[in-house]
Amino acid sequence: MTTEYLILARAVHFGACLLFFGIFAFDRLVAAPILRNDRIEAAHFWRSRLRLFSLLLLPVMLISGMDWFVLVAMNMSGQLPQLEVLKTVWLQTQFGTVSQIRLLVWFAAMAVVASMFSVKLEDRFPKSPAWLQFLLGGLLLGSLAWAGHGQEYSRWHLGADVLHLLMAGLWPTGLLPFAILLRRLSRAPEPAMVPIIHLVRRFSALSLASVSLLTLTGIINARYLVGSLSNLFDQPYGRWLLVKIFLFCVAIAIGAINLLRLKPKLSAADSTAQARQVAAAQLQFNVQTELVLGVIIVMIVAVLGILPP
Amino acid sequence: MKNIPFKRLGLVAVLFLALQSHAWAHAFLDHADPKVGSIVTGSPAVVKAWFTQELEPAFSSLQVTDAQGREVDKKDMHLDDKDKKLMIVSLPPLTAGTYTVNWQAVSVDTHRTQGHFEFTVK
Repeated sequence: MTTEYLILARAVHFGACLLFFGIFAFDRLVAAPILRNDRIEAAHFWRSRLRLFSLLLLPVMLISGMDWFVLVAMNMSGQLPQLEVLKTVWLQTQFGTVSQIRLLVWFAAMAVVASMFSVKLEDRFPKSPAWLQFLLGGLLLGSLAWAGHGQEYSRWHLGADVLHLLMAGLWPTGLLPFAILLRRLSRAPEPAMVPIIHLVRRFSALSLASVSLLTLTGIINARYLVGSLSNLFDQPYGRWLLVKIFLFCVAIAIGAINLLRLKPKLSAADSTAQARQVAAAQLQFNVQTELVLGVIIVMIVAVLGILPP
Repeated sequence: MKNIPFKRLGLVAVLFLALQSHAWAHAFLDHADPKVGSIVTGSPAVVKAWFTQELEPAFSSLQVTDAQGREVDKKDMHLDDKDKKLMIVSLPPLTAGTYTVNWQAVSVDTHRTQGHFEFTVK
């Protein structure tokens, strides 16, 4: 049963770290520039969602991280979680050192959340908390590379793994905040097409860059961890990786439809209001499908972390 | 024209994967001294076991037992200062016979593996 719990704890922890970074990355790189000069209530809605996600995700991150730590300690020692074993893992192993650093970053992120609820601070430094959370979220997510297969071969492998994690935080994780904001903008009494078009345009550019780097870093990781084409088919690790690659390709195909078919319909000067709304609805459906694929991919990543390549 | 970058990317992917590379993310025994299954003349002073990954000394172990299953090493297993993939344990002078080396390796990626091998002192 420990293995199943370990997979679950890893999946929840990875998911929470991805979402935390992904939401603030989306805010800084996509949403904030669009909503900056906008007095529509979407801007207020978005800021309240940022606070809500922070409040929800940080406790999930802590609890799942603690579960993960205890289960890894059991795995390393081959014993039930006794205080002495937990202390040894915490103080004498690389996983323990990484966990200590990540806990400090988590406390910093909690302090920033507290500042987000301070009206005085928010008025004086409106952008600082979001930039800080973007940075701290990146540290929490990227540092996962030191707690897995990423640090085993070379600095190139480690760098590729860190970048792979961060890019996954931009896409497909960024699809969730994108879907939330798109839904809000589309459901306004008079859908504001200009911010929707800007939103789709900016997110498309970010997704393209992210998918390219995800592919490149994924290939580098696979070269180090899988080694050869035959291992992809012969080993359980390789087969799970193939499923992940397949789902990734399906998500990319859906993304290509969004980019090549729906985005032009949304932004074409000769599109009617009705055609744009239909395209926006189709886009929402596609994004939700990609999100489901993203959740399955995170589960597979949790499995890959405990399998020997 | 739009498909060309994807084709190039696919080609790069195939080339990367087609090239053989080292692929052991858990710590497995790579080689040992005395060699696995070897017959040595005279008692070795230490047993050295090289693994495929860096190890966590707090949870890794290397024990040498005689044919009756009694531990005969000096219980001073440690990692080499310069090579964190190398476990070393000292031995007292051994009499002729077959000895079993039991190892448990916890790699820095937190995974635990274990195994054993034998060597014979002539």
